[in-house]
Amino acid sequence: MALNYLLSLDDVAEDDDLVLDRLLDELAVLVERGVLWQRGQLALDGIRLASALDAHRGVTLRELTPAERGHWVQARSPLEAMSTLSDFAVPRRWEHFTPRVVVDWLEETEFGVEDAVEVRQHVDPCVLALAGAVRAGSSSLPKRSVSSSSPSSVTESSKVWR
Amino acid sequence: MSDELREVAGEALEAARVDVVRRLGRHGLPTSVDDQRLLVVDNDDLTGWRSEWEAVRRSSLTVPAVLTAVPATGRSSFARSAFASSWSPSPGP
Repeated sequence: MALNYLLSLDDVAEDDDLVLDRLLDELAVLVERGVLWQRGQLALDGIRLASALDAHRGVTLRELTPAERGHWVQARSPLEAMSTLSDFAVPRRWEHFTPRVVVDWLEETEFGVEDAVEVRQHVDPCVLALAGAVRAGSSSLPKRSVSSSSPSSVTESSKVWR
Repeated sequence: MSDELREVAGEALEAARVDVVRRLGRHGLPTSVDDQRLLVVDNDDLTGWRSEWEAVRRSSLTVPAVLTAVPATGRSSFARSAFASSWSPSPGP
């Protein structure tokens, strides 16, 4: 955790309260006994937001920053970690999809009652419903500063803490 | 997590940072390094996007040579323990 903190700083000589608070929040989640937390993020393209949507049933939607989108491109670049040292060719995929927004949610459930798969089954319909509502400009959402074209692709990642 | 535990954890992280800064200074190593990050920015007409590089500063510990060069002493050897926990040899045959 200390290494994570030190690597996240712009300069080790200067502290960063935002980074520190984020790490302490994650630590608080980890030390919470008997509770399972799952954070899910769904990256979407084809949606434009004039401003972030407030939390709706625990789910938020916001624009990715230029740096976050750049990180996506760098992390998935086929030129990254290219190696010719082996005769075994690792399959690579080139894609033009660059997500524009991210749907973000944190789910809590009592550990031992449901496993992670069951939690996901509960969360995913909610998220997909939100994404669909954003496309349709549903009035049930907190804000409606949204325009959309057809979402071209979807990707998802999640973390599970116990 | 209680507020007390949170405060203690925060102080521990800050103590680790101060300790590393002291060790870097003792050996004339930088506390930050220049780096670049990629930005993806929409075109003005929203028909696509362009990419550009932005100069940023990063923790010098992101450079493996600096991380491993910070000497470790005694039980409080932060750099050595951190390096050991983030690296493990490949399993043998």
